[in-house]
Amino acid sequence: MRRLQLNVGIGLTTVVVAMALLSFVWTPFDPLQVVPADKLAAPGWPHILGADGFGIDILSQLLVGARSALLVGIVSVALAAVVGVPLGIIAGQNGGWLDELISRLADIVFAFPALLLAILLAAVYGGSTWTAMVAIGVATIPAFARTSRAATLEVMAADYILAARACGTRGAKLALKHIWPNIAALVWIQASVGFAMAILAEAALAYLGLGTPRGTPTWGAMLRDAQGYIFTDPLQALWPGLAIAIAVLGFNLLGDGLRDVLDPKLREAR
Amino acid sequence: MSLLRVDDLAIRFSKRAPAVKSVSFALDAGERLGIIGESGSGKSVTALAIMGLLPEYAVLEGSIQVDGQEIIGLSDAELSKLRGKVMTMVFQEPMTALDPTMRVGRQVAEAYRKHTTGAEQPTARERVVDVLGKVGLEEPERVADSYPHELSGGQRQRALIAMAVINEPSLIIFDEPTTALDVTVQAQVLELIDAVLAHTGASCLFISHNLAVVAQVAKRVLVLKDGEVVEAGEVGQLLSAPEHPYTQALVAAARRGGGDA
Repeated sequence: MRRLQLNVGIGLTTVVVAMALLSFVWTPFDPLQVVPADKLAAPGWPHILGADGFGIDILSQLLVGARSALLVGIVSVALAAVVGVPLGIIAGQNGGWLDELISRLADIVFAFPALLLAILLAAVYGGSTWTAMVAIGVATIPAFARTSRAATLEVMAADYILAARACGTRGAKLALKHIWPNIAALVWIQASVGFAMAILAEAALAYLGLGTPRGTPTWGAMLRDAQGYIFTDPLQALWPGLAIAIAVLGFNLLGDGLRDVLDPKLREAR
Repeated sequence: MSLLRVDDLAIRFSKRAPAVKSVSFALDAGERLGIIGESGSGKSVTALAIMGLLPEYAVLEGSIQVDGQEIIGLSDAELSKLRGKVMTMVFQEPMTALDPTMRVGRQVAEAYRKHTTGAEQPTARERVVDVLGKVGLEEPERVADSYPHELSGGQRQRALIAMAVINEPSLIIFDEPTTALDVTVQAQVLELIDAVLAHTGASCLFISHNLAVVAQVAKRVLVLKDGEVVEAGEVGQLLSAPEHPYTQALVAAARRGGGDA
């Protein structure tokens, strides 16, 4: 069962990554080219998945849309991890007022949903891929900080940390050489789940027009365009919806699968 | 002057009953002292207090002096200069006391590098292999390149002893170093500890719940019960004429079980 979860996760995420890579070398049509004659073309040939209300090929848009989904996922998760993980380790390692400060700051940031941050940033700087990435990234920092803190607390109680400290190791050296390698697996799992959340958030922002502006196809924007035809041509909404579902499900399964394989406690429990 | 001097040490964790009520003893340079007592008697807590490794919320009273320097109240940064260099500790459970993500040689080298300066750093690897060989590990090169899970319990405890002695500290605390090992390996490790101490001339605090094991390493023994010293004296004297009822029970247990009480 646990292998199945992991394998399905790997399979689905590979599909998404392959779509994005393929879009760099080949798309059936220009994903921006408006062909009025092909407006709302049904799935078939030459538009395999049909064309949207502007007559733009849907498959081409889906392929290119995978790029921005992955880009936003990578950048926002990287931002969240680079800021959140060191903060979590510092909090867990030192305890005391530093822990209290970092944990309360994390609580405060956690209180702001990514969507609200994105609206704020979009209002100030105008909606763009960058504001979406920063908003999602910042909103995800607490998740990484909390995960790393909890994992660090557990590692700090381990005998090997005590033994290393008994030999004089402390501070940053202890964190880099002993704590980080022992919590890295958990951080990767968090990254995978965070990736799924980021893709979902990116789609939501694009749908609301707060993320990547028109001119670059995104799954969220495709959904928004399809909304007008939901009763007459529901297939329009099905394709981008399916793409989002596959990506989110894939990264979630990957994270769950990794956790089951990497976490020794869960492994023994089965 | 004593190398280690513990005066009226009391340790409490939050509002619970004190883990250590009143412990006093002194240890001269080169001397070996055994501390014996059942689980919860405060012997490990005392050892951690000497190393300054107790969690922040532990409340310490009294005095612990190592080489004339007061330990209680020192910051972690100041303590880390003493740990590994002046005093060090070998823990009970060799299976978990080595970092599973790091090669054994690098862990031993880390203890060495921390207390050496630039010129000696390039020779760290040689020094590590040398010390691993000295603690009786066969193929020290291979052990240095192994991860902990590739070694047996006895090999790991030897590696941990190498880690402890690489800087030739003046005080080594052994916290039940053989409890987790099987009986034949236990005897070998005790011999090694004896040899290492004889070779380096380090003082030693040897903690155990087993009088028979303590008798092989230490000459003088402190009996701890409920955070207090109930009896102290030479091992031979304690074995032949124990005064406190608790010590009598311990002696009886050692006579009966011999090995693994």
